[in-house]
Amino acid sequence: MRKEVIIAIIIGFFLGLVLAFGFWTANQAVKDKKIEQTVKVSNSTPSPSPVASFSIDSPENNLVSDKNKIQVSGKTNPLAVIVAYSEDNQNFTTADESGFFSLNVDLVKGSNIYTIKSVDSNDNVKQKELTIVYTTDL
Amino acid sequence: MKILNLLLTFIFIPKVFAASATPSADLEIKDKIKQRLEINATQSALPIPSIPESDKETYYAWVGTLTKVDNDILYIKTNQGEKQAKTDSKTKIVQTDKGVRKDIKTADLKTGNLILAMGILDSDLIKAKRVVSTPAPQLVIKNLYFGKATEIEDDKITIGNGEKHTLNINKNTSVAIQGNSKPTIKDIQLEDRVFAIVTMKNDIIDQTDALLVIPGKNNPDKDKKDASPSASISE
Repeated sequence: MRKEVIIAIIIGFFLGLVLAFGFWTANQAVKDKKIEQTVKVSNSTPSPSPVASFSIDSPENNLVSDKNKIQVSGKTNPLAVIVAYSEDNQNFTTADESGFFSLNVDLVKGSNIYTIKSVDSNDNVKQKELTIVYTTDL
Repeated sequence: MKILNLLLTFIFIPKVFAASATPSADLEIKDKIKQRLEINATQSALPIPSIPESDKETYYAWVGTLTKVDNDILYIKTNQGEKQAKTDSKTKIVQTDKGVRKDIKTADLKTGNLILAMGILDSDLIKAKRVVSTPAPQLVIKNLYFGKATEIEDDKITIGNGEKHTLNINKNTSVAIQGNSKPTIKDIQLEDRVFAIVTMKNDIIDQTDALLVIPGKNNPDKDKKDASPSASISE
């Protein structure tokens, strides 16, 4: 009885060692992979590019829309005032504390050339133009 | 010795199982993949419902002045530079003038007209599905003026930090004040930050179209600013 218990303990100990070694090896492999990925990423971007201070993410410029309203969204300086105006419409909003903004603009049939300006708290102005065509005939 | 034998057995048995389990597992996986491929092959043989063209494509447009027509290529001066659009026998070309629309051909397009060439964007060329030509419209110039309110007198507000601009407010002027759900011109206070979209005529402000007011230190709406972080208006 005693002998069997001792054998079982020894077996258990060795199995535990084998399992621990297995986990350690797997962890090392995952860590190495992560480091490799990080190196790859840093190689593809050798120097950090400056964050664009005013960008329009949506919609794409020169888009044709079949709706008479479209949401314009993008990123600029935190809490900047965003002004969008075309010949026929205008709208305002303010960016949030991270600089994200979105506003709905109305579209008239045909071409809509919007000037979109971002004015930060120091009165610095950045400007983009956005052309959108509204038609239901395509 | 017995203990050693037992230990060796326990250490090597799993390896033997693992070595023998892999090929059978592989076979099982291969079978499953085979079955899946057969199912997919059967499914792909079934007719696929057709998707309308309009659901598949995103259309783009060049908007600008037609400067040249060369065979089936239109040269359009846009605010992003000169662009080209290609027409073909399927392109619908429409001319609108004073509310009258008529179908025309590429050769009938007039240079100097405002052109909307809509279709599929291929590199920098639009393969036009539809072209609309209208006489060049009279340009409406709009502008943005902003600054602190320095003078407020009835329906006139003067704004500007350095250069001053006087804005005439009338019934056609939309007013939005941050934190104020029912804004009027009377709610605008000195030192408020005012953004004005105006229509210009002969380089002077002809009409104040819209105002956005960010309340300053003199405006009681300043405390409500956080309750309504954005203000938006449209005509």
